[in-house]
Amino acid sequence: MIDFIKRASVVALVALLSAPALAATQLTGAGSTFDNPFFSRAFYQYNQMHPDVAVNYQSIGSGGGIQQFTAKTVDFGATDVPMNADELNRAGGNVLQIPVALGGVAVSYNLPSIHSGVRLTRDLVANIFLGRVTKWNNPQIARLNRGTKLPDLSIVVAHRSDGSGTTYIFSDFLSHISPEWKSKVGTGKSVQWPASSSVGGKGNEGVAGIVRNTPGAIGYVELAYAIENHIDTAALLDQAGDWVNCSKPTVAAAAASKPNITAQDFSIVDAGGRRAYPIAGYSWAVVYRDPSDKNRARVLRDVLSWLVGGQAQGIASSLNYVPLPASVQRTAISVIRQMSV
Amino acid sequence: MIELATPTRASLESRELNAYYGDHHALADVTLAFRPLAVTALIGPSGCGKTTFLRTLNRIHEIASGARVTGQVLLDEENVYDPSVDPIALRRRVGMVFQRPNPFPTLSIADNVSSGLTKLRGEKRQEAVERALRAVGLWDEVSDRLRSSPLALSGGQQQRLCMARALAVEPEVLLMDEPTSALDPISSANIEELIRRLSDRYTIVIVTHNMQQAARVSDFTAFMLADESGSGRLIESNETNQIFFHPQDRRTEDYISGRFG
Amino acid sequence: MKSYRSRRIADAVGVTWSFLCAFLAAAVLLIILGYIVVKGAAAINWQFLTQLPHPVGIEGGGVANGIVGSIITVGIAVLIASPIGIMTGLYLALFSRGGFASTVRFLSDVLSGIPSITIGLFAYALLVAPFKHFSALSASFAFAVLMLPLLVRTSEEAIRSVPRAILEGALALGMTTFRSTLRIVLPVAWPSIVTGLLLAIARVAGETAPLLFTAFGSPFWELNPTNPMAVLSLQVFTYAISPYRSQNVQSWGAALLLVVAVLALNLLARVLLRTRIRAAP
Repeated sequence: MIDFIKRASVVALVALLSAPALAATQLTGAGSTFDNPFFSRAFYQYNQMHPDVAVNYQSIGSGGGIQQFTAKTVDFGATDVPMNADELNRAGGNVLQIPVALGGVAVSYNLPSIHSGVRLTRDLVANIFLGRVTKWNNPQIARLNRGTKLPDLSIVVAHRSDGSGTTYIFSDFLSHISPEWKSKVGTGKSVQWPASSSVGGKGNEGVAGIVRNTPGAIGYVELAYAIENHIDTAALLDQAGDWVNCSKPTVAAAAASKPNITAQDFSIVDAGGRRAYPIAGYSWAVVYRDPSDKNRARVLRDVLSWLVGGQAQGIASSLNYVPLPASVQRTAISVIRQMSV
Repeated sequence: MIELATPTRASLESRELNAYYGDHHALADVTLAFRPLAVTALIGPSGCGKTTFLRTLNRIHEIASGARVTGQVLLDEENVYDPSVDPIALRRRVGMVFQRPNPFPTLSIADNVSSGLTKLRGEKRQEAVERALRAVGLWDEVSDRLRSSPLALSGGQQQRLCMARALAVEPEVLLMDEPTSALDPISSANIEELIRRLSDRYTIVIVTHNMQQAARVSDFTAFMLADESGSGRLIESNETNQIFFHPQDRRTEDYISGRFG
Repeated sequence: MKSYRSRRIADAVGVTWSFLCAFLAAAVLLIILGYIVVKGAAAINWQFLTQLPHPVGIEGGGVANGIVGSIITVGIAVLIASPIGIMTGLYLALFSRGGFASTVRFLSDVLSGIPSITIGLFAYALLVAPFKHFSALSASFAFAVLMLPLLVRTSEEAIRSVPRAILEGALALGMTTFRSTLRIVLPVAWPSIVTGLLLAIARVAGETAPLLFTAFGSPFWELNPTNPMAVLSLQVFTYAISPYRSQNVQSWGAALLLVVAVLALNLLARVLLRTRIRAAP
């Protein structure tokens, strides 16, 4: 036992001493949980290439990220929905918003008999979440899924109970599809769910858990989460009349159909295009245009430029994010260039 | 055997002394002069205020919350309740031994004895410890384990240790609050003998509920009794023989004969 | 006779019922512990204890910086909270005359009821926002505030349980009140106070909420308490909500480390308390 303690303390000491000398510049960022796997992997890689630069990103949620960015406790924030006029006002100074990651929102379900690709139209998704369609054996669903025996099960709507960018994108999609949704519920990071069978869960894992444990449930989760956890997702009918699953190529197609996005006009839901999945959106990094510490600003500019470039987006793709389209990469770079360093 | 400082004839007396615990008037109008270099026993039934009286003499009474005192306690003609008197300095002149042995459990035997010595260092300190332990007849029993815990000592040894601790600071008056009530008969006899031996060096006041003990150890005895409202009053005081054999007050006689009868 | 019988039946029902409840409570605890051990043991190996976190997709990695960070943040919290908590407990136990002491006691009780996230936000407002910089120190401050009411209570109890005669014995020797309590009373109460301290440490070691806006977390080695720092409980939280299995497994591993540490602290506290009871006169 004593030997073990000795050995352990020696190893610990060696580990401490041999730990890479702390980087000359340490940047901090906070926000979106969605961005976290991508960011931590990308910044880890960046630190391997530039040992004098270390970026500490912590996933505290998009809202928290904007808050901390506004309080200037972090060098940059990350949010799944760009900051609105109100938030920009509160932040003071000039804020640059940079698209950094792209993802889709999959519609997941739990039907004991159908393990993948239950077919739904966009209107049907809206009606289900509005609480208008309440049974899986509804003739409208049955018509789309001939050859499959749909059970006589009540539909349970699972949604996020916490404020989230995923909810924003999903409710934005529903608002585009259904005027009734738009007027009754609207778009937001958290909304009033109208279906009487609604159940809330915290985070992707909360929604996925409800869906997994409730036969007849339907919900929505991030694409990366759905892939990583082998979740059954529905195929949706796109504008061109094709059945599309939520996947990297179909989200990429949706993004490509709207090449010119800005922080004010950022929505790509139901954007059209061939084999384009209609529920997708960007995540954004936010920085001040005029940071007071110019040295840090230069380092931050270099890190962000690399983050939206091909190499980092390749890393994103390996983690089941969708790489930014070339046009959006160019947009991002032009925004980053506005930083005064 | 006893090699303590030369005895000083400190005079101690109370005048119109009253003590209170909050609303309770525990001690009423006690006026009593103690004979220097003699043992005075305070006797009386439970609740007669004898312990309270003892505790007013070194101002330990006042540390209880809500406790206060009116009247005077004169030590060498100086009122110890005068605002200019430091109770710390007073307590170095008026030592106290408690009902149950209360050695400091985390200190060694030697450190217990020297715990009140603030000025002495090194060899002088060790000498003082030995002197005090010899004075209570404990030196031969503990000299080989001065560094060990006092909790291993017997009850009687612990009480003598507490007396050594009190004597080490070289007080002039020694107050003892039923010092043998928690001890077996043999230990009690040892303590009583010790009190007798110390009486030519110190002015001693001892509270006891044991009449025979008062008769054995004291030169003077004061009898106290609570009145109808529960306030302790001094009934009479005199030489111990007089109190026991020729009490002046009927109540004293009742108490003593009741006990003896 | 009949009433005796019915009383006996009622008694038996009551005893059985309370036994079942106790059994259930113990069973729940054991199931949780067992579950964490089963889930977490798979993650724990030498690398896990000695390496920095690795991002998703890069094999291996550990929580070594979180282990060190937890020790640093909790250690500083102990340094801040224990003198204040113990001295307050001492004050309440020995000099509690009247209104002020009961006010202090009341405030301390209220403090112990404030959610830890609120205390985290307070630490944020006081020590993070004005400096525009997250730091382990602000987390230590939040921890210290969380520990304080516990320390005050246990210290007060511990000092109160020291026989009054011991304090009086010291005062009667002409020691000042301060010296008497510090040199004589406090050492007697010490084992119980340390026990309270250990329980307070165990209480905060698993806290996550007050860390989100204070220690912040870090993927790096960080020994400087004025910088953001990794803390074990924060790593449990971040890894638990990650979409990646590998990180979920690490979350269980980190949780197991925390549980083992808290368990060890509790056991140590018990041992200390038992030796004290045996040593008491």
